[in-house]
Amino acid sequence: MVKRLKLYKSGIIATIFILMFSLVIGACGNSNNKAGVSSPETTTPPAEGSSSPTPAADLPPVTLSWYFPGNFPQPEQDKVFTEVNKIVKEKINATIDFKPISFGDYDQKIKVIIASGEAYDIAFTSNWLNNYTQNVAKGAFLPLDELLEKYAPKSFAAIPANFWDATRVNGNIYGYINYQISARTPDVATSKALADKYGFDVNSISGKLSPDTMNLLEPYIQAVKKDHPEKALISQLSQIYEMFSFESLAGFNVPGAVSYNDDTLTVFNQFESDEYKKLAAVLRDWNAKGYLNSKERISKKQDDWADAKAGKWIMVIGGAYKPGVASLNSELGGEPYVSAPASKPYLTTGGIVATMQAISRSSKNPERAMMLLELLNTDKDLFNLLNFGIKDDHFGLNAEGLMVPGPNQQGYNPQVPWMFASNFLANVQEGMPKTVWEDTIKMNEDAEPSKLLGFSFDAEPVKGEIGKTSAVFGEFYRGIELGVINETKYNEFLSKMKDAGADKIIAEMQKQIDAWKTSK
Amino acid sequence: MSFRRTLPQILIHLLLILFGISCIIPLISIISISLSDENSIIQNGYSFVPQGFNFSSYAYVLYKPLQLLSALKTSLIVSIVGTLISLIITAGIAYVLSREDYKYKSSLSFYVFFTMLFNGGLVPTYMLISKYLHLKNTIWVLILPYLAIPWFILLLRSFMQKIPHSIIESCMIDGASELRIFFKIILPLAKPGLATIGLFIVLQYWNDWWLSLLYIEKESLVPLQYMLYRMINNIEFLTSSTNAMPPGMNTSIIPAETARMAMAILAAGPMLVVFPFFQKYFVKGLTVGAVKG
Amino acid sequence: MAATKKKSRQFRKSFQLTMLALPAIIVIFIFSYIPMAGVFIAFKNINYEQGIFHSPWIGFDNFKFFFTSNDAWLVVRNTLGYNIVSIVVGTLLAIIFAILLNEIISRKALKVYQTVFFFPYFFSWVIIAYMAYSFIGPYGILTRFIEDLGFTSFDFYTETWIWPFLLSFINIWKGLGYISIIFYAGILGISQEYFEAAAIDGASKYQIIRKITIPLIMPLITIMTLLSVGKIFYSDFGLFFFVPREVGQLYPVTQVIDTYVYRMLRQSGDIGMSSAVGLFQSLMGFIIVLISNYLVKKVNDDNKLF
Repeated sequence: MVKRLKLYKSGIIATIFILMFSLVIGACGNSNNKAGVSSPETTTPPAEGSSSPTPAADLPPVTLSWYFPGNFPQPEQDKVFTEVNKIVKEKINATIDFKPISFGDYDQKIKVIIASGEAYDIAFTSNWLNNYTQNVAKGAFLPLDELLEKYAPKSFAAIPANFWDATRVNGNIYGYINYQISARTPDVATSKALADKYGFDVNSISGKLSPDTMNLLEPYIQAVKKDHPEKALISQLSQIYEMFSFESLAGFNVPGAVSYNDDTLTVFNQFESDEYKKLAAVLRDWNAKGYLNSKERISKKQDDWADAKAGKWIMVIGGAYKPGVASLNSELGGEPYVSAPASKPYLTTGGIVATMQAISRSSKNPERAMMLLELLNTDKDLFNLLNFGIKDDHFGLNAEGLMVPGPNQQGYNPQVPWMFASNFLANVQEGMPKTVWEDTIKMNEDAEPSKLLGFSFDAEPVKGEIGKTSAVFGEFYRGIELGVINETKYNEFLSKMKDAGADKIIAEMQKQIDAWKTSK
Repeated sequence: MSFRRTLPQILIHLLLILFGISCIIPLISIISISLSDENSIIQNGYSFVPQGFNFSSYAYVLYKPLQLLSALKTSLIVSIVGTLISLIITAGIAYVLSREDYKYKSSLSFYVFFTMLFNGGLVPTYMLISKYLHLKNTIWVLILPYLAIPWFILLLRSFMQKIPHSIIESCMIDGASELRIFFKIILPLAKPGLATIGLFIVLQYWNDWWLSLLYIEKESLVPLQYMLYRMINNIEFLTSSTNAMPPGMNTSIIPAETARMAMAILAAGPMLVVFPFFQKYFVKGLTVGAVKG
Repeated sequence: MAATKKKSRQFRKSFQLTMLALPAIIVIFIFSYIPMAGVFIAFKNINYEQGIFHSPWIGFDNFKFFFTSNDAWLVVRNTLGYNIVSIVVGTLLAIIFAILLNEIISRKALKVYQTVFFFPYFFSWVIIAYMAYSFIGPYGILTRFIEDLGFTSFDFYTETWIWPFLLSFINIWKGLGYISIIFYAGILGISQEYFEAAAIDGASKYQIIRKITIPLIMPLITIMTLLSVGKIFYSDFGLFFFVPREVGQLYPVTQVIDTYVYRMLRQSGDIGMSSAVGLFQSLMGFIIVLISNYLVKKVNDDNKLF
């Protein structure tokens, strides 16, 4: 009894301690928090007429911290970053505190940094990593409209207005777009040697694929399969969802989509649509015919090009079709490839907000951060230095001015040109058409913009349901894309989606779209 | 020796060897992968014998070995310094908790145990360490949080409870201070327990990547295990289709499976050397009975 | 007079012992108790604009998403099931191994066994997942062996029935060397006198083990079990996430609370919701430990945890 009383007492003491400390921390947090909120107001200088470039000497020196993901660390990144900082120091009197984080750690790390209120200036954000709308809804980023106008006029003008509209949440821009290919459709690719041998012209199916017309591919698959049973057709839902005639609103794994040609903007559950069911049926049929090699692929989370190199692919539907893609594929596959777009490309919000930089609410120097973004997006040499490393060391240029690997390429080769700034400033690689960026911009311009461009879904009210439905999707998607689940199983998938709150998500989406429509 | 006596020995060995084989075989398989040629693995499947025997994956991982050496240095410093301090601190409280006559034994045990189950969670801990203690990007952040791990404390307490109270009593009658008893009598008597916990502490420090993931942004302070974790985790991310990365954006040529295995071997290797060092304390005769006799 | 002297000695003793424990008390206080103040995050809708301290309170809303999900009970069942198996079977095997190791006469063999049994512990779960794949994957060594035996097309990654056994096996296999070392060191700590006395009385090996070894390492067994019971609502994330390679068809038998919550929150990354589930896991474990500790106390007061 006495002992129990003691235990009880120690429990009380512990509780008191905890409470005390929460008060102390609470108080500290309080003062810090106030400072954090007020800093943008106090530090934004009344920069009138500053649209003309300010000489670096007039600016006080600052350090800007920048978190970004990629294949980091690179063995010689410090050497490259030092070179970059030399230029940045000279141009805008700033020093970048580089915080390169590996892809796998980025989400976790940036989440903790944002949640803890730690001060940083710039971070990469998108709809797939460091979720943009979620962070905006939670107030992690600063609105950029004014900063863009004042401090980044050139790069602001270089990107079409409807792109900027796509980043708007409640009328404000929170993300600085890294301009790149945004008109999206899957790429249909196959080895040139194989296509030639079996007389398949990839251009014959260019832009024609849909769940209804998958049989266009069958003669080729069948012919190759007969001679090469080890080869398979590679397609994944995560790779081909952009082929459908609808746009998924909260990611391909969350129910809720709108047809591109639907003026009423009615949200529906794409997994229940005929299109989805038809594709599932085709894949089921193809699995039965052995085209998919499902048995060996089911325990692989994703098909990668190592298999292609080892001669296991007939053709792949996936990736994004863009000018120059065939030469990229050839590099990955280790032999010449031919490519064609799977369907008609659309310009969607998802394609645009896939690569952006945001300025943190905790930033002490948001205007300088914006100057840095302007600099990175207008200075070609600086961008290429950051992107490919030091000239004649990590990369070289051939006689035609095309980029070739340098003697020391392994020292710095992060392979994420879309991550630092506008992709269109990048050196053109040898083997690509010289006009590849002009062609890409043209493809962006020619693509039909989605009617939902500028609408962004705020997932906050249904985040629990989104979690539950994406867990259901995770359970079934691999079975669907490999055609190993039958119709009964597919219906089970649908009913589980319903139980997980698919209808609630769709209703919320419809509500938000209707509100957006009237506000427009 | 009669057959009756050797038969049980043989059976015991047989059983242990069987389990031992199950521990060695996977190791052989990953060594074999690390020495194989990626393409032939995909084409022919896995095997115990390296296919297309080559060291290219090690060459890949060891490219610019300075980075690896600096990581090794960090790992060694953290493991050695951390283990020394942690072992003393852990032994101190474990001994106190093992004393039946200690007034606050029950409350203090509860104080320790409670933290095994409840923690403040990721964000509050991060705020404390980086914002208030300013430990981010220092070597101390890799050492301090693991100095007193409740599981080790309570385990060592159980080991120390076996030391007969009569020994302590007789020392106290001689007028020895508690500190003296602890250092001169208890620590030598508890060697098997200390060696066990010491080994666990080394492994805890050596294998940890979590603290470096959160608190280290300086390449020069990255330990070996985090280097491996980071590389593997990056690959896991890039090869997982549920990462929602838009199609076509990943054009990275990811390190081959052979390179990952080479890295795993390199990261685990040094610990195989450490083990025998602790093993020498797992010897009969260092125990209470021997001292008493 | 004598009483006060005794009291002051008593005080001095307590004081000196407390000083000995103080460094650990301080470290634990700083790194464990202070952050505990942040437990309120589970009851807030975190908003960075207002900071975590000033975000709105939302009561138990963060807990709802887990308990209203389709598979909440399934994953709780899986978590508890796997943990119970690994506590019971794992501990039993570890004790047996420790006793067997203690019976070995050859020093050299002993050292080799201990080292070898530790191998699995050196590798992270991701690496172990690769190892497993190299055996039971479609091109794995074991798979091809089975197929050579005539069972055509055996696929481990789609056979649900096999996974509860497989995961339990791998889990126990990885920890066995580690845990058996604890018991082995515990046996070493037993005074030789007991064994000698028993041998003189003519006790058989089996009797010695049952009457001396086991009872004397009982405190160790109890504490190990109590400590694992506290974590019974948690599972080894890496084992259940990486080893089954995210094959969806296996989820009904491989999904546990930690992986389920991770998969649900992967996209939104809501810290309030993840804290809520963590709090639930801790609280349940805590209750179970309190009950088991009470039972242990009834049986033998010396073995209790606190």
